Amino acid sequence: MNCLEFEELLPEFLEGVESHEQQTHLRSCSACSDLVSELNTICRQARLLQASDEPSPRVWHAIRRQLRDEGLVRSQAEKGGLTMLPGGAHHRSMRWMLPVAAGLLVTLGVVRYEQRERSTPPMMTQSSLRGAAPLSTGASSSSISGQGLADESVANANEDEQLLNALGAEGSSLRAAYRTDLQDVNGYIRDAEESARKHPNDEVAQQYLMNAYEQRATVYELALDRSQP
Amino acid sequence: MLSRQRARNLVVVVVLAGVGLASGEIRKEYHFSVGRKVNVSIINQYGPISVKPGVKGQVSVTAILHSDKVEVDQSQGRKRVDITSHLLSGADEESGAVEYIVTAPPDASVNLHSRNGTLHAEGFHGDVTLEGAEAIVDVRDVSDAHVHVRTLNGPITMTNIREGHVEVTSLSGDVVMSSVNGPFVQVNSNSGKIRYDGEFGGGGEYFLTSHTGDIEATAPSYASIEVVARSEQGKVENDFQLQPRHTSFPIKTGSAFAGTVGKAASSVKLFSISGKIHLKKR
Repeated sequence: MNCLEFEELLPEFLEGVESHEQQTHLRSCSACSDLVSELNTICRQARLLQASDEPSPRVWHAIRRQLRDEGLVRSQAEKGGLTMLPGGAHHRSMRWMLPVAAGLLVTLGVVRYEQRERSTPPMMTQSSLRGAAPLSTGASSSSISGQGLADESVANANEDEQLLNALGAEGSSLRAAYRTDLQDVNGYIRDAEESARKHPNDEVAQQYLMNAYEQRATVYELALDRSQP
Repeated sequence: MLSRQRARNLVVVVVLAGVGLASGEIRKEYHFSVGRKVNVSIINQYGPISVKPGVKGQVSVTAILHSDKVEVDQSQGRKRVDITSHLLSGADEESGAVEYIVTAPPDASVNLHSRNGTLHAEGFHGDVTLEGAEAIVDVRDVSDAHVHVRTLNGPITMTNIREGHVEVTSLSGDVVMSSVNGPFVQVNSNSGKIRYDGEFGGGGEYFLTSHTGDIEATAPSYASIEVVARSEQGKVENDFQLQPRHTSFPIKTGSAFAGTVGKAASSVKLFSISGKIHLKKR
C-alpha cells in the first residue's frame, strides 16, 4: 500500500475500520503516521469545544452552499452522482477539517457573545434608554441608566435594523412578523434585566436573562436561515 | 470509481411526471440504502414535512414540488442523507413550496426545517430536531432520544416522549405536552402558553419558563415531585398539599410556592415573569 491508497481509506481508518495493510503502512511511513496523529488530536479537541451539540444541519447547508458558489463542489445535477470535492485523496482527507472549522466558528461566536455580555454592568437596566432603541415596547419599571448598557442597547437596536433590512427582499409581511418577534424578545430582555437588578444573586432572574437571549438568538437564526435562489 | 463502502450506499433516483397531481406540481421519489443510525436532514423553505418509521436499511423520500421554481438537492454521505429545497429565481411561498413524505429506519436521527407547514415526526428512537419560524410542530412516540424544537410563532404539540432530553424554545406559539417524561424537559417560551399534562416522572428535571405566557401543569395525585413555582407579576395557584421546603427567595403567597409531593423524585420548576402559573391535580 502506498500513501495515496492509505489516504483514500483514511476516513474509515479514523472511524476504527483498520486493515492489516493500513497498519503495516502506518508503521513504515512517518508522513502518514504524523497525519493520523494530527487528525486524531484535532478530533479530540473538537469534541471538547463542542461538548453537547454538533453543528445543526443549517451549518452544513451553508457550508455546502458556500463551497458550491466557489466552484469547489458540483451539484447533483451537474455531476450526476454523489457530491464530491474535486481532486483526489488530498481533498477527501481535507473534508475532515470542515466539522472542526464549523465547531471553531460556533465556539468563537459564543465566546464573543459572552464577552459582550460581561462588558455590560449587571446592576443597570436599559429601560431609560428606550428612546434610543427603535424596537423597544415600553417597559414600565424604573431604571438606572449606564453607558455600558446604553452601548449594548444601541448595538442591539442596530443589529435588529440590519436584520430587518436583510429581510427586505422577503416582503413587508415577513419583516413585520420578525419586527414583532424582536420587540417581544427585547421586551423579555428588559424585564429580565429588571428582575436581575432587583434580585442580583437570584438564579431565577439570571435564568430569565439567559432564556431571553436564547430567544433572541433563535429569532436571528431562523430569520437568516433561508435558501438562496 | 465507487469504493466498496459507497457501493453499499447506492442511491436510486426515480423521477415521475406529476400527471396525477395538481397542475404544475412535480412528484419526485428518492430511495437511499443506509446503515444503522443514519442522520436524515430535510431543509425546506415552505411546506410540510412528515417523517415516520419505515423499513430497516432504507430512507424513502417523496417530494411534491408545487412548481418548477423549486428544485430538490439530495446527497448522501457515510451516515447522512441530506435533502434540501433549493428555491429558484422568482419563487415565492406558494410556488416554492415542497411537501415531503419521508420514511426512515426507527433508529435514525431526524432533522427537519421548514419556515411554515407542519413538521411531523413520530416513532423514532434517534434524536429529533424540528425548527421553523412559523412551523406547526407535532412530535409523538419518541423514546430514548433527544428532542429539540425551535419555533417563533408556530404551536408545538408533543405526545408520549420518553427517556430523553426535551428542549423547546418558542416565542408566541403555545406548547402542549402530553405524557412527556424524561431525565430533562425544558421549555423556554415568551408569550406562548405552556400546557403540561403528565407524570413529571423518571426522576427528571422539568423546567418550564415563560415571559408572559401562562403555565398550566397537570400531574396525578401520586406524583413524586419537588416543585418550585414563582411569577413576578402573575398569579400562582397550586392544587397539591405540599410539604414545605426551603428556597433561596422569599415565598410570597399568591406569587410563589415551593414544596414536595411524595418522595420528591423529580424536580419541577415553573417560572414566569408575568404569566399565571397553575399546578393542577388530575
